[in-house]
Amino acid sequence: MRPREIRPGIRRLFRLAVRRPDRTRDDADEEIRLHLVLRTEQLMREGWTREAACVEAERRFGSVEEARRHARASAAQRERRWRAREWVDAAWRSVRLSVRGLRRAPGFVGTVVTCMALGVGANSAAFSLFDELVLRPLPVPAPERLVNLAAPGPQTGSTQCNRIGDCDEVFSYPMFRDLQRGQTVFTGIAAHRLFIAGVAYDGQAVEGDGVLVSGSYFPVLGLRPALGRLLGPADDQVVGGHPVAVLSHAYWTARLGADPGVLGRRIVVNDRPLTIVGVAPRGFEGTTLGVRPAVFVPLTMAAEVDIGFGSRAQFDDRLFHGIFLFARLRPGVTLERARTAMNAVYRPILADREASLQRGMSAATMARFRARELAITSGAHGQSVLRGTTRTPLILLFAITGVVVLIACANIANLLLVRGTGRAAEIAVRTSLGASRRQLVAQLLTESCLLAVLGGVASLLVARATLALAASFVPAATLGMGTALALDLRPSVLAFSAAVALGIGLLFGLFPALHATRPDLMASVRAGAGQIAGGRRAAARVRASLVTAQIALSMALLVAAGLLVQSLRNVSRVDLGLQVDHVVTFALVPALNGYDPARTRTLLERVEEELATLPGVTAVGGASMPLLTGMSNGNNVRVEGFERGPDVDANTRVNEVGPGYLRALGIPLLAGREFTARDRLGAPKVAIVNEAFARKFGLGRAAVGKRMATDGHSPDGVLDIEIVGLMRDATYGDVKGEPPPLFITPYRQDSAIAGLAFYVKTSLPPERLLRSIPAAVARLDPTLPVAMLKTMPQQVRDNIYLDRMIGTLSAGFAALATLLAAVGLYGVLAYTVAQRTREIGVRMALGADSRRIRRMVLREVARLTLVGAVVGIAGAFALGHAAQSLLFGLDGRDPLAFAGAAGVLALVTFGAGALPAWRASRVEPMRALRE
Amino acid sequence: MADAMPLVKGRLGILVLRALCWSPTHGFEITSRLEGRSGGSRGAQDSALDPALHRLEPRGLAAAEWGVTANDRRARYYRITDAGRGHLVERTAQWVRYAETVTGILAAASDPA
Repeated sequence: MRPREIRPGIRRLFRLAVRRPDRTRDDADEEIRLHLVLRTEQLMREGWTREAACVEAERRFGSVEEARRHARASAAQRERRWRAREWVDAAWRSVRLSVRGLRRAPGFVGTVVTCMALGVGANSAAFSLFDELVLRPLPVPAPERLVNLAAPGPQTGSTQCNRIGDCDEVFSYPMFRDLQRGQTVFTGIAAHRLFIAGVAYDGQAVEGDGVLVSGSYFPVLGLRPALGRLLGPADDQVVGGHPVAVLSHAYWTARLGADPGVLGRRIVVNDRPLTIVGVAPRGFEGTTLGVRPAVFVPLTMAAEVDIGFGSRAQFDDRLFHGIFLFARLRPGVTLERARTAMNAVYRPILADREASLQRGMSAATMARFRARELAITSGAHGQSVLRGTTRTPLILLFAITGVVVLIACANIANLLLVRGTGRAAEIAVRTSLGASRRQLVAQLLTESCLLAVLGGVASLLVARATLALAASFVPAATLGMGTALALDLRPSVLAFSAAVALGIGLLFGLFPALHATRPDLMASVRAGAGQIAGGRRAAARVRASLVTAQIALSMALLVAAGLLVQSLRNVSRVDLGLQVDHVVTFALVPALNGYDPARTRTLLERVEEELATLPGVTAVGGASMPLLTGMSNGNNVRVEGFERGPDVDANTRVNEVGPGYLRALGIPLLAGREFTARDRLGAPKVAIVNEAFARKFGLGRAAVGKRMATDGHSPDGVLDIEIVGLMRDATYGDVKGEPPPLFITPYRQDSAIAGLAFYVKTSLPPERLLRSIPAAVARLDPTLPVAMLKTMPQQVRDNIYLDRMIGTLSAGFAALATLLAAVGLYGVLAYTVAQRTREIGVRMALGADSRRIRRMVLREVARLTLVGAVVGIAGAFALGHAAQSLLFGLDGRDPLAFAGAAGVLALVTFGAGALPAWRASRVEPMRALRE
Repeated sequence: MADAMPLVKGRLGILVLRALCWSPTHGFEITSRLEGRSGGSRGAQDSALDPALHRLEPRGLAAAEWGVTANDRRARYYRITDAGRGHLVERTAQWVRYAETVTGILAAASDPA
């Protein structure tokens, strides 16, 4: 008789083999056979002959094959069920065992979880930034089929480039239409352009971004509306004839409460009423990273809603470059083929329609103009200047946090290793009781996975805090400046954190688990030997190399952080040529609220007067182009005495300012006079130039009294502006940029002024102005939004936010990494000293004094630090080279950064070694030997 | 098999449980008990019993183990569990209610309205 069937629990208790499938089959066959035999016997008792009974029994039974199949199937199912239950039981038992074990070691758990939380958290935060700014493609179908168009090369006329792309990437509207008509390789070419949008719905106004889009924009992207319809070719027929708008999902949700009844209602964009026809899909925020538009308006409405666009005549002007293009490849068309095909369309347009319009070009430049090529590049990520500038710093930051994770991993591996060694006895006992090595390793891995789960959860808190810190550096988006980012922990980031944490748990749990269950190690424990040779020496080697690696990585990070911090210090110390202390800035754009230029000018003048009456205010200046915002405005000029042949660069920056401008910002006037309120429309046109302007146009110190003209306002070349002053060079668009040649004119002489940025100097704490300015503006027009209100030092910080963010975060991460490495070093030294108590006791008994013992331990520290630092310096050179493009005013091999890093590292490692060394020197020989 | 009992699939399980009520037994004995109880009328083919039997086991309504018959033959003995008993009581009541309803309707329908 075979053994009776055994219940799963019992079977497991005695570690009996699970039944094999063929045995299960035999059982089924046997059951059927018995049935037939018994039936035959019964029939024979009823008087059937044996043969007839056999046949009848089989007939009554029916299909033996089917019954067999049935019985086998159900038997197999039974087995599977039991196996699964046993597996779950085992796993659950293993988890419970781990929880019990971990609860007995709260210090160990706390240290591991903290290490993991810091490492993985920092890494996840960096990944989140990296994912948001570099990795994630546009949320549209098949984004990899999108391409961006650009047209680098010489051209005359005006260009408007912004956060979408640089000035090589803008096209004129007629060129866009020509390309659209001639192309055969795309499903369509889309045009778009950003504009500053004052959006009012139901009396509620907000200032934000808008996108002007061609009718092909949404079809090329392949999007479906969340509500109503999107804009299409039908909205792209008549210039000025399509007063409709599509809302972004975010604006619709945040401002209109996701009300489905908004379709057909009126929305006022820059004082122009438009009909809402639809809502863009959720998650789609245009194609420019860092811009989160509120509305999409047909490009044909540009002259109506975009105060930067100008008149309707711009639609026919081939010399006005102000729109950006992207397209979607037709199925089967490669990038290469699209390039060839499009240039065959582009070149004839240049030659036939545009070459004759270019002015002041030499023959060589004209040849280059005719040879210009349409650049077509991958457009999966849309078009964005921000993406280009943040890519390198974020890769660096991500790499730095990756190193932090490695250092944290080394700590965790070390801790697990020490714990494994400490549990040698327990493991040996379990082996004696019949646990296999596989089971023990699985048990230990369960434990490290459990730790990984705890660490992973804790890391999310760290990631959130880090991300919030990073986001605090990013200036808010306003008036077409700043950056709108939605930085939060997305599912992809959560998945990333989980993968990293579990990866660490498994990978760095595996070696300690394998090591702890080494057969030779367990044999020696069982033999009762007090000191174990082989296994521990291997573990000690691993621990020492882990610490060396940590020191090396910390060294590299400290150097990188040192470089970035020094670069940040250089950036912060740039001589701006401005006095920004006690200056508050803000901007008003009355044109967005429907003011015409004449009323705008009057209002701005009244604001100047009103501000001057505020307590403490010593000077008020306005400027049409806000400083230190990355924005700039340029013009080609003619200057008295300056020869302007073909190809001569006559470009200069320009700004329009109020009378108190130089005083408010502390820009010294070197010669001539400042503007006054009398320099207004109708009075003789005047300008003040800076030193760089005087140098570029050969004026020297004798600038005052010379005459000049801009190409835009005086095409016929009459020098209609008199230079009345010379001012010192000062920063214009960016802290890091050299002061460019610049001339300023009175805004009162501009017939088309739209708005001003104000600079208010105060003798009182500037915070008071931050409160009193909105009230002062409201006294003149309570509906006028005050934008960009902040102190000038804050504006300076916003201008260099990327440097500050990367510098601060990398310094923080490097400090964290060094701290983790110090903890690791301390742990290893403390453990080694504890292990060597007996040896140290013997040494002391033989006459070594405590100083000598201390030196012995510290020599170990020195050895680890030296090896680690040398390896680290090699890594640091590589990192410094990679970071070179991010550094301002210093070299990637800056000796100070290297020396500083080495100093910090030495200080930290010897600090970590001090306590174990002291403890070693206090060993009492008699006690140590007796133990 | 003109007089075959309507051993509809699904009902068979209850009959098997009922047969197991008296004492644990093997597959053939269950068949004969059902035949005996139904006045000798044979059910569907004998093999129809096996799926019913094997369905009961994973649901915990019956348990099985190998044993030896009176004639010293190795056989798989099935035994009704407590859960099986509860199931049987519940299903029997259900079946009786159903049968009464059907009978009532059929009897009423034969009366002239």
